[in-house]
Amino acid sequence: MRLLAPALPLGHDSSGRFLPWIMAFMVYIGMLALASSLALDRLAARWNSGLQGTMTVMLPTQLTPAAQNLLREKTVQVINNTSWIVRSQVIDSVETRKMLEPWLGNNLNFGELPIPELIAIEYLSTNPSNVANLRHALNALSPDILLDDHQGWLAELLSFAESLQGLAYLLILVVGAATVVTVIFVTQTGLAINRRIVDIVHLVGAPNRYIARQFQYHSLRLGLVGGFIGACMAGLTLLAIEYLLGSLSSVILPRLTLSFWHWVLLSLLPLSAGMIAMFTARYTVLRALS
Amino acid sequence: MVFLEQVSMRYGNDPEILRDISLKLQPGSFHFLTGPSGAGKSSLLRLMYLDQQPSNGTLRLFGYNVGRLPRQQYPLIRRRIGVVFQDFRLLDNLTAFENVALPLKVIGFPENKIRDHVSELLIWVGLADYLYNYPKTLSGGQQQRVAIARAIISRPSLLLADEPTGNLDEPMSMRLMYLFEELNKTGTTVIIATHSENLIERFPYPQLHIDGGHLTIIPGKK
Repeated sequence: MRLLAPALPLGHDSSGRFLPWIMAFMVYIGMLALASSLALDRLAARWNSGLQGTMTVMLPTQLTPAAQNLLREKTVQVINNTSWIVRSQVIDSVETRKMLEPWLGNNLNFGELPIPELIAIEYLSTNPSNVANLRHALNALSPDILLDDHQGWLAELLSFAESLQGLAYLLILVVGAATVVTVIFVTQTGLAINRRIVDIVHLVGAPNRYIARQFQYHSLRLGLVGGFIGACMAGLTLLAIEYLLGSLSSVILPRLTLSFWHWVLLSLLPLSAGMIAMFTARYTVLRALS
Repeated sequence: MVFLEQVSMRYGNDPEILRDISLKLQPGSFHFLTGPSGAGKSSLLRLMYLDQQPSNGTLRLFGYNVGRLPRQQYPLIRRRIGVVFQDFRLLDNLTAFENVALPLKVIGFPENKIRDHVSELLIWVGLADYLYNYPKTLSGGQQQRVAIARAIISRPSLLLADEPTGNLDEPMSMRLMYLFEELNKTGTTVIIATHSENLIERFPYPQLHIDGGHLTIIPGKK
C-alpha cells in the first residue's frame, strides 16, 4: 500500500525531466576537468622529482679530438673537486643519441648535428652561490661550457602546468555554478507548477521545511541519477584517453595516470552534484516560501 | 478560542467585505455561519484559517494575536484547525486515503496509526470501497466526504466548514452533522457556513449572520 506518497507530484511534472541529463553533462565535464588537474599535478610532481638534485654540464664539440679530451678531463676534475656534488657521469654519444631519438626520430644523421657532450651531475643539496661558483670555475676552462641547473626550464614547465590546473579548477567552478543555477530554475518552475498543491499543504499545517524536504529529496534523486550517468561516461572517456596515450608511448604526451585516491576523489564528484542539487533546492524553496 | 475585535477586511483596493466585526467564540461552541451569497461568509472563514489578514482590527486564535504572529508560527495554529473547503481542495495526485492522511503525515504521526485512523474514518463516512480512488474518479458527494474526513482526522480544536453538506443527499448530510456534533461534544469548536434552512431547522444552533459586511448573532434553541 502506498501510504506515504509525497504530497507534491514532483516526479510527474515536466520541470525536472531534463535535470538528470543536465547534471550528467555537468558531472561529465567536471570529472574530466578534475581528472586533468589531478593528472597534471602528478605529472608536475614527476617532472620536479625527476630533475631534483641533478644538473647537466654541456661541453662544446667544435674542438679537435685532443682538445675535446683535455677539456673533458679538466671539467671532470673541477666537478670531482666540488664538495657538494656526490656523483657525475660523462654521457657518451651513443647514450645521447638514445635520449634524443624519441624527440628527433632515428633517421637523422647525428654526426651532422652540433650536439654537445654531456656530463650529468647529481647532488643532495646546494645553493645558488655554490652553483654560481661552479659555473665560474667551468667558464674559466672554457667560456663555451654551459651548466644547466634545469631550474629555468622546470619553472616554466611547472608554471604552465599550474596555469592548466587553474583553468581546470575554474572550469569546475563554472560547472558547479551552472549546476546551482539550473537547479534553482528547475525548483522555481516546480514550485510554480505545484502552487495550488503547496497552498493546500500549507493550509493543512505543513511548515515550509516540509515542502522544502520534498523538493530537496526529489533534486537529490535526480542529481544522483544524473551524476551516476555522467560519472560512467567520464570514467569510460578517461580510460579511453589513458589507453590511447599509453599506446602512443610518446615522451611529449605523457601517460594519463591516476592513483587509487584520485579515482576515489573523482567518484565523490557525482555525490557532490547530488548534494549540491539537494541543498540548492532546499534553499530555493525556503527562500521562495518565506 | 476565536476572538475578533473590530475586524475589517478587504481584497486589494476593493471595498471592505467585512466591517468592524467583533466576536468571541468560547471553546466547544457550535455555530452556523449564514448570510446571502457574497456577504463575506467565506472571507470570515479565510481569516480564521489564516489564509487572509484583517485590514483592520485584532484577530486572536487560541490566545495568539495573529497580527503579531510570525508566519513561521502559522503551521502550529493551522494544525489545530480543520477546514472543509467549498471547492474541497483535494490533491488530485493523491488517493482518498492519502488525502485524508495528509494532516497526520505533516505532523509526523506514526504510519501504523495513520493507517488505522484513516481507514476507520473513511469507512465511517461511507467510502470503504473508495480508499484508493483518486479524487477525479469520485463523485462530488464522495469528494466532499473525503474533504470532511481530512478536516477532522486530526481532531482539530476548531472546525471550519464551508457548505459541507452542499453536495450530499439528506441521509449523508444528517450522518455528517451528527459526526460534527460528536466532535463538538469532545470539545471542538464548530463553525459551519451554510445556506440550508433545513439544516438550521434540524440543528438549531446559534447563527453568526453576515449581511452587508456586518455581523449579527442570532441565538439558537440548542
